[in-house]
Amino acid sequence: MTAKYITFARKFIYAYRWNWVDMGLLDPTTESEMGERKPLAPRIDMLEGNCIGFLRNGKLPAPPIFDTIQSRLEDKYSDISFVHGGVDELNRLKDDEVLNEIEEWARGEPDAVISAYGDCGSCTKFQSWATNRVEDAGIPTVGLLDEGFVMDWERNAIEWGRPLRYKSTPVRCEITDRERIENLLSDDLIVEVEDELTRPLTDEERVRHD
Amino acid sequence: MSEQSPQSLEEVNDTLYRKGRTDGLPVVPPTERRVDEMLRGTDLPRDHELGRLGNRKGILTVEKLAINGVMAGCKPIHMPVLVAGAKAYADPESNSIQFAVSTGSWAYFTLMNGPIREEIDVRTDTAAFDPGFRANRTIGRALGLMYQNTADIYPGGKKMAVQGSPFRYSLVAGENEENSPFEPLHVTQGFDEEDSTITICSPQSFAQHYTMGTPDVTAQGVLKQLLDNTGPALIGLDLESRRRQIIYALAPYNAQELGDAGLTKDEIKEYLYENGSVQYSRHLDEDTQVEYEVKADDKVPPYRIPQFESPDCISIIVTGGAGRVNAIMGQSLSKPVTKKIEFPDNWDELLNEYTVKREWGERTTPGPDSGRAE
Repeated sequence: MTAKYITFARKFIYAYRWNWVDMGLLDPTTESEMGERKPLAPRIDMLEGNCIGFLRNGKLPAPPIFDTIQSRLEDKYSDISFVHGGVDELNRLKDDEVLNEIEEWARGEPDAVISAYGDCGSCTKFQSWATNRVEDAGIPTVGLLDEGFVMDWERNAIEWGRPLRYKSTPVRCEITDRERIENLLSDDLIVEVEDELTRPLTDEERVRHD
Repeated sequence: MSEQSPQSLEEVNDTLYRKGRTDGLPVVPPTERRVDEMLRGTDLPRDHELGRLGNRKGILTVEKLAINGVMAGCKPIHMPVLVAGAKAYADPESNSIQFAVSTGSWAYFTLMNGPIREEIDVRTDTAAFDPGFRANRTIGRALGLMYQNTADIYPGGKKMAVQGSPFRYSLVAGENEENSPFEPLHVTQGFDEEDSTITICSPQSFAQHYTMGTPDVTAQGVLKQLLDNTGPALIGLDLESRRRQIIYALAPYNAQELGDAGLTKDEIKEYLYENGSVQYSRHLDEDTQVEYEVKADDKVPPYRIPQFESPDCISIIVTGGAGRVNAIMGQSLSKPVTKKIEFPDNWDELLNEYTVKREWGERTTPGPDSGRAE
């Protein structure tokens, strides 16, 4: 009993008093200069009267997802326009030149941007990079993701300084069938996507930690 | 436990494991004394930056590399290889930013060429990729730990490998240059034959096959077997995959059949390129893929199309011992990236101090045998 208690207590202490020096060890992890926290771009008041940008990362589900969302929004709003950007080939979003072009594109017509589709390890990461560049341009964004890649999005995004907003969808990776996607993207989910673009920023989202 | 650490070996390992800093196996605790000792293997200052890795652009210094090397079980004589390997991972051409985290579960393939193989006993002969050989095992492990602890990746948290790879940190060998009729890979990559180098790339699969009997055991038979065993999953599954890379690791006996027929590496690559094919229908994916170019005067589309975009997609190496089993490693997200290994001034002293002569593991093909006891 006593031995078990000591073992438990030791584990508790190590878990909460973790320190490489105390352990007599050198730390195998590394520093990063990427931590500077940046605010999210201000949201728009409503979609009506605005231009919505669709930013594709080259994943196959992105075009039919965008088609579905655009169709629903056109039915809902009389004064709304759309513009498309991004890449056709998977993972080209990692190139600086392409990211610069995305930022320039974002400074053009769109008032808010929906990016898609985060459904693999590297494509989710590079989607978050491109979405971050749109936020750099002062344009509010929401990233669409397979629900299995939410943690991946959050961790990649925050390392670049922003808790980028996202909406997970029931469209699992590599689904391209338009009719199936239309059935999976409910009207309620479209409203939630809109909400990410219009809901005012929280204090945490506004904050900049230098 | 050991010097400098107030905790037991088990406690240190439990904590490192809890923090996600291991590969699941026990590690050697990176005490200051051990890290200082590891740093004898390089003349670079400990704060010298080797590169930035991963989404967070983690700053990899020589000291951090040495710490991960200690944890992996490396010795100071492995440090020059680790430094060159780290530079390869930091090179954007390696595409490590992608293959380390992708759902595709890519391995960290590592090949060593040149005198380093003999000097630190890198296995090039029988069981080259197998467990058992310290340099092969610890160098691959160290580079894997280096990447995961610098980029701060772990499953679910930025590493999204669907099923993972059993070869992730262990696909490591030396080229059996002494039993190859071809120029070694580092020479193909533009280095001098007497240079020591490390090459990395990122194959997804490791598929082995035999060549047996007549007509397989001929130059044409060996090439036929290579082509027959290069399934679409290894390269050419779709148009993007056709642009990726594949590595043919030939057993020395099979390589000799090709050499005896007077074939060069370039001629073999050209032959594989000309004859490798996949079904055209695989590349017809509604409007989401660009169709293979169909000539205007074609009455019907081709049934099969080239599996490789060009001969440059193909690398050929020779490794392993007696026997006729080849391995095909593909598809790789990156071209092979090769870096020259630079040695510290005290290299000979380190070799004298840290070389362990094995009492087992004889070669089955002719060549240097430095790792074994006289």
